[in-house]
Order: sequence, then C-alpha cells, then structure tokens
Amino acid sequence: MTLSDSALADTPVAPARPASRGVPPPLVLGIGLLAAWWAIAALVDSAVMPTPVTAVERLLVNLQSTRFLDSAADTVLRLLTAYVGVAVVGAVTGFLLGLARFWAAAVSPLLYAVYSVPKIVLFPLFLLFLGLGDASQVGFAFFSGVLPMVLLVSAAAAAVPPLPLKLAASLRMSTPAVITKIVLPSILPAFAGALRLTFGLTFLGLLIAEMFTGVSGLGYELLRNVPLVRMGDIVGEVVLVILIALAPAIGLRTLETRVRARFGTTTEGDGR
Amino acid sequence: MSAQPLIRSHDVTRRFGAVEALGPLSLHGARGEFVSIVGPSGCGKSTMLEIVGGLQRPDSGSVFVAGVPLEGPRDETAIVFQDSATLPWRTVLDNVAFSLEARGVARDERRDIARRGLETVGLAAFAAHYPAQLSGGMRQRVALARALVTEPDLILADEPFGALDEQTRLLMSDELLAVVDRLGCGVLFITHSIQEAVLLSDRILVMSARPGRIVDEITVPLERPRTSEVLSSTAAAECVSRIWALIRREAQVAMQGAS
Repeated sequence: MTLSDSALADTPVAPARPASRGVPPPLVLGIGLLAAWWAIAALVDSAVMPTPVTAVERLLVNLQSTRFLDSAADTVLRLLTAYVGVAVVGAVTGFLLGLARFWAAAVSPLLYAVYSVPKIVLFPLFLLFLGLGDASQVGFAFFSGVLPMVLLVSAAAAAVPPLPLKLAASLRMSTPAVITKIVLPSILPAFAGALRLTFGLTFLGLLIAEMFTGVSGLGYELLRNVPLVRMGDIVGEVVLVILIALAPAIGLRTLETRVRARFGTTTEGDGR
Repeated sequence: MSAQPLIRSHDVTRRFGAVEALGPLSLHGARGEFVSIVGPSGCGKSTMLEIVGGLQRPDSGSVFVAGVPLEGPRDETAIVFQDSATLPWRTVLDNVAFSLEARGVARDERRDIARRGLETVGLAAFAAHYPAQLSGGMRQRVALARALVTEPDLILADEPFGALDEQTRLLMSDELLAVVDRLGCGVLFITHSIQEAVLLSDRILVMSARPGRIVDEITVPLERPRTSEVLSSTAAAECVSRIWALIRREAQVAMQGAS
C-alpha cells in the first residue's frame, strides 16, 4: 500500500474560502459614518460643524484655485519623495541590521529609544540643519516613517525560522543563495506590513512639518484656515487628505494581504 | 545488506557552554542499514544527528562518513527534519526541486526529477499546490521526496514523523521502509517512538540521559521487507518492552536531573 492509496493522508487541509458577497463591511462603515456626520451637523446647525455637502463644495471651490492645486501637488511630491526614501533606506538598513547580530544588538535599543520619543520635539533639529522649506519637511516625513520600517524589517530578518536555514546549510547553499531564496522571501510579509504602516506615519509627519514651516502644502493650507475659522475649507481639505491617503492605503493593504497569503504561511510546527 | 561502513563516529562529545550535551559517543552504520536512536528528551539525539550531518562540529572525537573525515555537510547526505521545512512560497514541485536547485541542476531537469520524486511518495497530483494547502503528513512526504531526489547514500531523519497522528505515522513508516529498501541507502533515524524504531530499524541505539551516551544496542529480529503489521508480533513486542525498560530508567534520571 502506498500513501497515495490513503484518503486519510491525501486530504488537503486548506480549502479556498468562498468569496463573501454583498457590500464590503468597510464601505458600510464609511457610509454609516458619513450619515452620522450629516445627522450631527444638521442637528448642531453651527458654523464650526459643516455638513458633508458644505465641505465638498468648499473643496471643489478650492480645487479651482491654482495656489491650492500647487499646494496639493507639493504635498504629494514631498510625500512620494519621503516615502520612497523610507521604503528603500529603511528596508535596506533594516535588512542589513537584521543579518548582523552584533549591530542589531548594539543599534536596536537606541532606535527603539528614539522611536519612543514624540517626533515633534525633534523637529527643531530638522529646521536647524535643513532650514525652512522642502528639505526639512521631507526630512521630517522621512524620519517619521523610516524608524518603524527599519525596526520591523530588522526584526523580521533576525527572526527567519531556523529550520529553512538548517536546510540551506545541509544543502551547502552559498550565502547569496540563502539570502535570495530563503531570507528575502521570509521577510516579505513583514516588509509589506511595514510599507502599509509607514505610509501613514510618513504622511502624518509631512502634514505636521507643513503645518509648522510650510508656505505651501496641505498641512499649511489646513493651518492657514484655522485663524479665519473657515471650517468648510478645513473639513474639505481633511476630505482631500483622506482621499489622497485612501488609494495608496487600500493598494498597500491589498499588497500586504497577497504577500502574506503567498509568503507568510509558515508550515513549521504545524503538523497535523 | 552490504557490510560496507558508511558512518563511523568515535568518542564524539559536544558541550553548550557549561552544559555537557553529548558523549563520549561512538556509533556506526552500514550502507543499506536502518539505525534508529532513541532516548529521553534532551539527551542529545538531534545534536548527534546534526554532527553526522555536518551541521555542527563535535568538540572532540571524530566522524567519518563513507570513509572520509567529515568536514561539513556533504552532497550525498540528505536530512529530513521534524517539521517538514517546506518553503511556503514555493509549490510542492518547486519544494521538491529545491535540493536539486541548490546543486545547480538545470530547471527543466530538476523539475522532471522532482515530478518523479513526487510520484514516489504519491503526491504527483499535488505538484502545483502550496504547502499550506497540504496536511502535515503530505508536507512530510514532500520533505521526504526532496531528500530522495538527490539520490543520497545516507538519510538522516530527525523525528520526521513526530508531529503526525498515529495512522499517518504508520503509513509514512511503511512508505519510508519501501523507499529505503529500494534505494539501499543508510539511514540514521531519531525518534521518540519505540514502536516506530522497532518497525523501521535493523538496529536500535538507546541513549542515556544527558550527556547522551549509548547504553544499549538492540538488533531487531524482524525480517525485511516489513510493514507496520509486524508490530503485532511477539518479537516486536519483546523489543518494545526491552527498550522501554531502558528508556524509562534513563528518562527518570533525566527528570531528576531537570528538577
């Protein structure tokens, strides 16, 4: 008798989950929140609480202004620059750090300490060294995202399961082959998660930097409207910021889900 | 069975810091011979297997495989680990081909060989599946196929069926016996299961509590080829009983040492 004769041993254990039908829950929640906003705004009936319609109307008006469009474009460009830096520099540094046990032990506590400091208190240093302008804003946005990227990727690189590494050693694989065929695929799920997480942090850092030192950018536009109590404009800009963040956030979430499904299911210690 | 020596270790010891993990331990195994090592938890069984596999160096003593002093892992030795060590991002076929890929075999050739390997372990229909879609027993068969496609002269198996349920374990044992008989390679097999050791082995080495030494060697008086049905024989039962008496004593020593 061979094992192939045995229905007992040949039963795959992970049937595909049927796709759920109907309206996606996040969409339901979004519609619910929008309805609640509308209801509260109507109930309060105050200038400081515009309705969604007012906010969108103000946003559409602002979008016809060249200065506002330039501000939005500046923000997107700065965000892109900082985020690419976070992804590349953070991933490479984290990866190298995770492979070098000595340096990981030496540097990680320092990184965790810096990460626990509220970033904003370090912003004056950026102003001092990079000046008022794009460099300090992009630099601060980069700084806001790069630390978690380094920490997450280095932790993943240091935590590659030992069994595949033993397998590689038994097959006498070269170090480059071990890195490309085992280590890199092993850390991809953590990298994908870090990409999603750091996008939000980078964007947040940029908006804060623009609020403090900008002469353009959505952060600057938000703050500029506060003394004038232009709540419709402010909320309209918040809507724009959410829209700018939404597409990459959904895209990165989808990427993470796919990467985890393909690379993230460890079979070690999962014998059935 | 050939009497040609395949493994010979002499007075091997291994320490981890202040802990004497192993030895001095000497063992031997021939081509075509199935040797199992049983012993209490923490006695150094896996350490000894990794030393024979070239994954660890002994602190003292010597290991010869196929008459050559062991300096590290060798191409002709295949290791099957307790957990299957399948790579979740590779299909079953590419997992089996992985050991050939590591040795530089061309893609088409290694895939052809891997397909034959999958047929050997009855998983040809699952070539395009991913490990997460398989049961634990099926994944362990993938690991076995990955070891077999390199046509090793020595298979080192570290509790390869340890995580499987009893039925699958017996079926896997039958399959392994059939494959080893066909290949004629030597096997050094670590297990916690005395019955499994009796079913599979020509000889069984019983290890002491840490630091692990060989306290007895039992030749299994069962004809080959065998299947799991031999476990119901009187000879098998006597073997199991004798080994259990030895291990029980050593396990008690190990537990007292731990407490």
